Amino acid sequence: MIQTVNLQKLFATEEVETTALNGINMDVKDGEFVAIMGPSGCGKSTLLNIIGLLDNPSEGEYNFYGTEVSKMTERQRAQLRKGSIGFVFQSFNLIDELTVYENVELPLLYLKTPADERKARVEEALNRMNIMHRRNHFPQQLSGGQQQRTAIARAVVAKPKLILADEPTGNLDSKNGEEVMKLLGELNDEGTTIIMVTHSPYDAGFAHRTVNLFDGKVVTENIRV
Amino acid sequence: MLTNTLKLAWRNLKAGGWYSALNVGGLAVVLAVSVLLLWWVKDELTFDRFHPAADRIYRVNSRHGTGADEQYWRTAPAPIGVAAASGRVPGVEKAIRTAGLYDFNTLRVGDQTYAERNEDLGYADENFLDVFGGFRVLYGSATQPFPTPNSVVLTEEIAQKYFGTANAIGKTVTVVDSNRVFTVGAVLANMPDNSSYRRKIIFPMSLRKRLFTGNGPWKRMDDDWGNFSFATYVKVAPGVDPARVGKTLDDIQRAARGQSEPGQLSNYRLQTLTTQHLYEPDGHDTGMQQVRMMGLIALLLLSIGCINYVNLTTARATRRAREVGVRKVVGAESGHLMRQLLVESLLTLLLSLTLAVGLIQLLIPYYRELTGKTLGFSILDPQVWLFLVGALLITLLLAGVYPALLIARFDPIRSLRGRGAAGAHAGLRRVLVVTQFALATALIFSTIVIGNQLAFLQKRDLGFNKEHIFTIQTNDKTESFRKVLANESSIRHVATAMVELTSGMGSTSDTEWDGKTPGRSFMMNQISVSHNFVTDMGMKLVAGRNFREGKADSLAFIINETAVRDMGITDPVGKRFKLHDWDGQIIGVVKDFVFQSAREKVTPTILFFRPEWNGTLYVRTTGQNTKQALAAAERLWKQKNPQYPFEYTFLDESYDRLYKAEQRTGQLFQFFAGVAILISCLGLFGLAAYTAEQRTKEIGVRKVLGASIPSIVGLLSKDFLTLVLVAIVIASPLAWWAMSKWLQEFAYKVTIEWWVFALAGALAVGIALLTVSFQSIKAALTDPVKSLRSE
Repeated sequence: MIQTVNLQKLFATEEVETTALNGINMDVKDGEFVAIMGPSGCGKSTLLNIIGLLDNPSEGEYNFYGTEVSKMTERQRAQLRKGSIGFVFQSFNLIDELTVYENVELPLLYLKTPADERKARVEEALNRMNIMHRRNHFPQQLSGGQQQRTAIARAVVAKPKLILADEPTGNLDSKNGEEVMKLLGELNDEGTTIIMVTHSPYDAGFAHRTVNLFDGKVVTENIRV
Repeated sequence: MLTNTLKLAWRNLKAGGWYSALNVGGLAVVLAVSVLLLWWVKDELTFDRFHPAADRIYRVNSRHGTGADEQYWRTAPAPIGVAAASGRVPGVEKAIRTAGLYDFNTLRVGDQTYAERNEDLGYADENFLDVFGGFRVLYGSATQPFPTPNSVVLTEEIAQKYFGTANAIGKTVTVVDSNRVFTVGAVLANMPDNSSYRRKIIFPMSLRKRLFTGNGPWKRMDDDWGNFSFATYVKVAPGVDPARVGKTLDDIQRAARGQSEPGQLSNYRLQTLTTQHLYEPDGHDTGMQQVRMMGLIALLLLSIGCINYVNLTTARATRRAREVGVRKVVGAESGHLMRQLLVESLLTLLLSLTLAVGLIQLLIPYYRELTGKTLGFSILDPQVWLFLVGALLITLLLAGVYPALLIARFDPIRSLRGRGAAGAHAGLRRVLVVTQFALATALIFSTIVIGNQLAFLQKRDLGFNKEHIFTIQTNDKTESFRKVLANESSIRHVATAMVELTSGMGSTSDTEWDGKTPGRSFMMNQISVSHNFVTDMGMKLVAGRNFREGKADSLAFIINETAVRDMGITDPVGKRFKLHDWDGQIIGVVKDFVFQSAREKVTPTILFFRPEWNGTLYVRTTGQNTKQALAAAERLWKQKNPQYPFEYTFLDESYDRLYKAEQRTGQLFQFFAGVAILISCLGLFGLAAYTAEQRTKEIGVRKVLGASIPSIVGLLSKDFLTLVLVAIVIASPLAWWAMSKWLQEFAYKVTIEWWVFALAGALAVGIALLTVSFQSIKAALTDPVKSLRSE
């Protein structure tokens, strides 16, 4: 269960102060699939970074599965983040120097998962994402769709409760985009909570609920029936 | 996890391409060179320490004269050694004397004759191994290396050369001059490189006693207080004050010689064995200065290498920002990343080390040539590895930890956008580049000054003409040989003198002239020459006349200008002058001529005319056909001295040897300056590439808006040039100060002129510009469409 109360985020330079988030109240229940939409610069990614424990809000509360995290240090957030959140990015963010297998294995290494179990889980994730045959390839040797499937495999391999996706189809053609959305939908059906930032109404259609942001505020919410 | 870390480190290194190559290559060069340098420093600092209880062994130095006439010698007269060994000096456990051997140098074994270099032969007291216990005895007895008065001690090298085996005990060697036969009493292992005492053939001191023919009132060598030929060493009991020992020796001397001639008495000062290699008897730290200089250069080079590494790694860190971000997002903590980055540094360093070891192997022959050290450095030596690993760990600490800390702390969100710590650490990088270039500029500056000084020394007026002269050592018949040789067509003229000029003429204080302060101890060099020596050598008489052939001038003296000045006389020609027992007069004054290294001033010198004392022929060829002249000399030599091999030395080569230390310093500096510049340029090159990459978008925008290529090259180069200029401003006064100190050691020296600063600065700027412009031009030529798309 994720809950934010009056979340604020200010970015300040010497000359200008920008309000990125301005009083966000938002609840996400376990097993929910939420899409966040809005124009560029409305604060979607900032919100996702805070929800993903990559950043702290300037003000407000954030309850992450029963823990108040809004004042945590980077080190504490990193501990909490590990294993409980999977990230999927628009630009895949795979490490070029690692193979597909090694990229997917990375979260388990940091969790100190024993080698046998690690192998089994990486292979399971790779099979699931239908990328097993490319396990020894490096990211540059893959198509965009394959790269994003690898990134999703990496996001799910530690079996996190929550997956955060930041425009996961933004760099893909429609066929590959469709495939990625189906995979996310399947993961959600199996119980994983998903919060996805998107510009695409089509992709948002996969979510149970769409939250619309404008100038750092929630303006409307649509629930799929 | 570790395999993963290692694997990734290796792939990152590979992916780094030329960044990695610059890093690994630069560090390898720096490691190799500084390890060799530090090895040299270690070698210099450990001189003579291999003797047991080396810290209790002292050499007895003697001090002569006072005030301006004060001199320190490394030697003492024979009776000092006798007194020290007699038990009359409290605290002295053992005392021994060693002396050079100039009586003969040609030995025969079977049918084979060997002309040895005089510096390889020597005399030593029979118990010399009691004090020099570090010399390993391979065969024979350490307590009795000379079982009989006709024994000789050889080193392994000579035993092998003469007899084809190290075990030469009982075999015989004949001295050609006297036909005296000596039996090998002991064979020593070759003396280590870091031994100050380095003789290869040692005769017992008793032989020298037998050959002694008397010196004035003194009839036995052990009573002769006038001959300071003996390097005397004492081993004292623990806790004994060396100054007290010296004082007791002073007292013994006074008791033996009486109070009558205060100016003739010397004072004895003990110098520890372990400092004699690097410190002069008067305490001057001539050798130590060079050791400090080389140690400093090694550290400078290591610093330049570390700076390079930090610069390149942190510059590249920004490229890796995204990777760091991703890792953090998937669960890496700072500790994980630190470990990963340190392992990468370690891998880079290990690669550099491997390369450095290879490089050292390649450099060893040059190292030996440059340092004059023949042994001592082997890659199999565990100490060498201690050095290498030590240098590696220091580099890792200095150069690996900072970038790792920096990168591990990247903010994950910024990193994911590919912006690690971009501008934040540019300040530090600037400081590092300035430091690096300041060091390089200082080395360029020093190289120029040293080069100038060397050129100055080589072009200096020696006061005579050293060209086309070779010298031959003879034992007798010198005068008749001189006459025969002079008739050869390829030979212009032949003069003779007591010794070869650069080998050091003897000095004496046994002189008298009208007006000399009573008791003044005034040291003069003395050399007997032939009547034609002054003219044939091209020396100039500034007053009076030359010697005339025949007996008439046997009490005539020619002195040099310095002698006139230091003696404090005017119109010297015709004045009474007494040398030893010869009461005569000064007949001429010769312009100062140089026979010492440039560090020393020309000293007062007296020329006297005793052709029968002369053992060195100075043969000046016509300069057209040296080969023919040498062949003629050899043919005539064989007729006169069939049992001696014909040996000769060119005088200009002997003079070059006087500057060997300076030449070596010059070459070393050129080399190190070269390495420092190369490494600094690698760093600058990497940094320029990084900057160009960082500013790709800016360059694209500027080009779209109409900027010309030169203006972009200028834009990119300007920042670096500013840094290099700052470096020059910092380096110039420091280098000037250091070089002024170095020049102080020379009696004759160049002044550091403004153009040296200008040249060093211009070179630094030029090199930096070349390095940076390559990257700048490359960036400026990039298609703006591509540059803009890259964002």
